Amino acid sequence: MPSRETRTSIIFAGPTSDALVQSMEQPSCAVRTLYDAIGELVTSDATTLVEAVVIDDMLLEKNGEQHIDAIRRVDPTSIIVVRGSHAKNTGADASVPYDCNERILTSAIANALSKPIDANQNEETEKDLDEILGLVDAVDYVQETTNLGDTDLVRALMHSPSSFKEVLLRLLQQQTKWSYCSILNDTQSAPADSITAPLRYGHEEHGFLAATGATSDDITRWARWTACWLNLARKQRQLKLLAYKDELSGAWNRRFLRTCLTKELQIAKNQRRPLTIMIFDIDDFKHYNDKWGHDAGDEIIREVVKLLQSIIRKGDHVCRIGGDEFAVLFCDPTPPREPGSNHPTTVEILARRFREQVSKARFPKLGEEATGSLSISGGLATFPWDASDVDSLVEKADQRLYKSKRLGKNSITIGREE
Amino acid sequence: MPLNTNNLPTRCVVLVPLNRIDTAEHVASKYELEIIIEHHAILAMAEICLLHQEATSKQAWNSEARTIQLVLVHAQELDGLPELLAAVRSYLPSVRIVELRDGQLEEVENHGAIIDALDDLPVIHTENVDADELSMLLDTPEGEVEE
Repeated sequence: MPSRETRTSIIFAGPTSDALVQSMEQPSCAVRTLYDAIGELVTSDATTLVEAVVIDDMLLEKNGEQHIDAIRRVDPTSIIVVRGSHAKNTGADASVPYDCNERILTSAIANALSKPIDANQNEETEKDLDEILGLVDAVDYVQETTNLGDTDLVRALMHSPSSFKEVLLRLLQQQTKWSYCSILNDTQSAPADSITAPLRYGHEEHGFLAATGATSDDITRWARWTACWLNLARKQRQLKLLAYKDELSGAWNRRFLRTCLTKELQIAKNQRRPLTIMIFDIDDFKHYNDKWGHDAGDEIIREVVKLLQSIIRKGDHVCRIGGDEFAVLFCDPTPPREPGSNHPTTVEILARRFREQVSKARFPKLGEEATGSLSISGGLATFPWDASDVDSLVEKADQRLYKSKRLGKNSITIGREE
Repeated sequence: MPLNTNNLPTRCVVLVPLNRIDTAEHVASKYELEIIIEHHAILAMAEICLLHQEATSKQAWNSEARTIQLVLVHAQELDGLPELLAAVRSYLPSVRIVELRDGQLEEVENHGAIIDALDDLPVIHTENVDADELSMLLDTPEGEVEE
């Protein structure tokens, strides 16, 4: 897949003023429907690669998420910009006013391009880390609602981090008797009858504390106390991420895979759902490291993870489990995903697409002659057909990875023939 | 109707409402189709595009390309069908579109093509007609016009 920097053209979908299309410096085309936009994306050739799809929000009134999903399936890296006021919750990369000009649109696309592909996904997984790993279930935790104290905050932090802020505010209200209090990102959203104080701990910012019925002294004192707890929660989350993330690639690490797979396997058993793991490595990775140096090798690792994260579904996890060895856990935690869909087939399609995308990818540090020369070999194993415990499932996927290697590399062995 | 021109199973995207999945699975089994089921027309468009891309890539490497079909099963109940058909015909003309009718898969006629052909009407330039000629033409009683 070409890197984003090489993309040049823009597709406008929906009613668009000719003036805007013509004012674009990049080659642009306007189509009537999103179906046509997808057709344009697929038929665009190497000289007119698509950088962005600009969609009139009118086209997203019904099933907006599916429409965005459809574009991402066909081209995971083109930027999706929604024109108009109904851009929220569609999953688009950027939004612009309906009457925007060329400068605003170009700037929105440039901003979206500068974000990492998986920015939103990371935010979400960080938030739900404890739930993904099942750490919150480790202790039977019952949340108190009255007579709260510091111990309840510590317990919430340990066993239910997602409800920590809620417990913190409840305790604050019980202690102060304020009629309202809230933690806000900015002071503008505070109610008119409230006063606010910044939540700062050292150099760390945590937003603002807003309260109704508080004196200025009161709120300053309690804001310091609240910031201290918020900082502790943030540090704890950062430490957890350090323990479970791979620093180089930003993917999850081997520890995460083991913990998450154990938990997901139990869920799959309880809900009688299949669970698939794909293990793959980059063919002849040592050769790339030796020939172009470790910097180039590191870039390959990072790009492969980015590419993979742009292809997998929400709920799937990418892990780096060795030097150039990766695992993808196809979890998809929202059953039933599509009652008619066949889980292993869907996963096979994702795996196949990923292999194809890697083989087309460009890695600038390897020079022009290396374009399209990268390939991967992998193996897929699915519970319940291939194994029913963590070790056997990983081993099965590993065996198939080596089978792919023996068969001449650049392939993914699924294992149905066995 | 013949669905397959080689020995490989035909690859299809089936567009079917959520409550009619059984019918789609029955059709797949009866006609030995390798199917991807979608319940939204726009997602069916995406999947058919991906199958088409894959087939094009295989053809480029001289591999045997499999027939690709869009199968409509009670798809009239879904939004976006006319837009889907128009886009598939326009961008992926090699994709066959078939529909389940009375238990049989039948090719969908391209009525849209006739309408499309009328989009650019031919403009016929004639010699100017002066006021007298026009008056004469308009006043001529029916039956008296010479052919």
